[in-house]
Amino acid sequence: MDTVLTMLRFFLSIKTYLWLTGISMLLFLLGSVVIPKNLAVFSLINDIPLLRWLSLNGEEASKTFWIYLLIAFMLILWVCTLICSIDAVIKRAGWKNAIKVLSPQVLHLAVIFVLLGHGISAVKGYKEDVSMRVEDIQSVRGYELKINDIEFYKKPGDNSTGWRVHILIDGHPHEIEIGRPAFYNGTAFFAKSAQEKKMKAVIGLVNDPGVLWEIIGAVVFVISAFGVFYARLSEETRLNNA
Amino acid sequence: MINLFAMLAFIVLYSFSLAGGKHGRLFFIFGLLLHSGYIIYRAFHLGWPPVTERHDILLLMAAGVAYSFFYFQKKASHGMLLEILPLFVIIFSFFAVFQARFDTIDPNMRSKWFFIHIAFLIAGYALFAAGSAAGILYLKTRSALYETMQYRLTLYGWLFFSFSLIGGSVWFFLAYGVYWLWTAKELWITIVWFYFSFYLHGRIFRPFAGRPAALIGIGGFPVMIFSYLGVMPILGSPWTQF
Repeated sequence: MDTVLTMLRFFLSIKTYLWLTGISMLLFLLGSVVIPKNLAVFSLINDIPLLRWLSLNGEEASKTFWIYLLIAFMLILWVCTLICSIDAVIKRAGWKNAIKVLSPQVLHLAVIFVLLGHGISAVKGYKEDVSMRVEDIQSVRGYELKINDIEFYKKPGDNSTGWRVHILIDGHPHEIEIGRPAFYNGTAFFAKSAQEKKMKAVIGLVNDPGVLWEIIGAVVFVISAFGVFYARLSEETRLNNA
Repeated sequence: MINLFAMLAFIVLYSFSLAGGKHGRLFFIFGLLLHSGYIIYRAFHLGWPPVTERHDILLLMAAGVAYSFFYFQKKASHGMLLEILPLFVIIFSFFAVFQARFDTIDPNMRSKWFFIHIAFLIAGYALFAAGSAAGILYLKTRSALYETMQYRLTLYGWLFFSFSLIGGSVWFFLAYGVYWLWTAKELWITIVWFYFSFYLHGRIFRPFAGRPAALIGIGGFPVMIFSYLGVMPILGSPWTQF
């Protein structure tokens, strides 16, 4: 019982949070120096789930140790945020001043979802690119793809040509262009690049189950942020009127 | 050449305003009028909101700080305000002068998510800078009102900055299929987010209350400036126009 209480006190302490964020910042700083100096080592880090990348680069521990530490610190931070929020809700929740008390805790919950999304993205999912000409049919990751047509366009003021790919995914027609992927069966399909002369395009397939939690986190964050704004502004109005 | 002349003119006017008093206020208002006019001119020149290149973004951040002058005046007018606030406006504007102008738009930037990303980034950074100004006023005057203002401005800045990260993640995912990258730039953006989170939590940690917390908050300004302007040339992060 004493051990549990000691652990709870550790996680509930603001001092713990400050140490965790302080050290995490130093690790991010270290990473920002290490990555640009070792581009060859880190070349694939953004293309495959983080844990798989780490297992492939096991022999590069001198350049990747900070990522392991960062994962450990983010995990402790995750637990710390969760316990602090539960504690605050239990101790202070009530109908009176509910928005003021609960908004910061819901905001913490959003951060928990976002970190969870990052965690899932680090474990699962895939990214794959395939180069296809118009009328080509290819089977990728269980999806049958066929490009029907590629349109090219340039708007006034643009510094490059844009493209729109008309594609069939398992026989279903989709239009994909820069910034507008197609979503089908949990996978996103991107028109990553296109060549007008050869009438070919690179289609990117992205399956990232962490994105769903990122979206939930983002929505919860925005809603709770409005709660924080509302609570602060009502407090200011109350003080001004007093 | 006319661009440079206009920018130098409002920077000089802001510099004269540092003298304070009635004349300082007049110089500040004239500087702000010219500054706002220049931003409107840039919008017409680009045919698009001026949020696609670093030059315009820095000038919008500077304008955001300058407009916070009226908030300060309403809340806690102090003669010293004009000795401090214009400094932050001048720093942003000074850096803007040295940024290349491209006057073209990448088709990827014609996205509402990109606009949301940059608009909230501008608001967040301007609020962080205004918060730092309030922090300096607190250190100089010892008025608790400025300490509260520093906290509120930084809190709102942090929320807006978080909105910017959400918008940026959605934009980047829709454009490239990833919502976060392991690059020096992204790591520094995360440092900025954690830094101000550290300040917001540290303020309620008793040993940091008052002067230490104010100093931590003010320290966020150089961190933020380095994240936006220093990471690419000094650490070697991939080049971006914005």
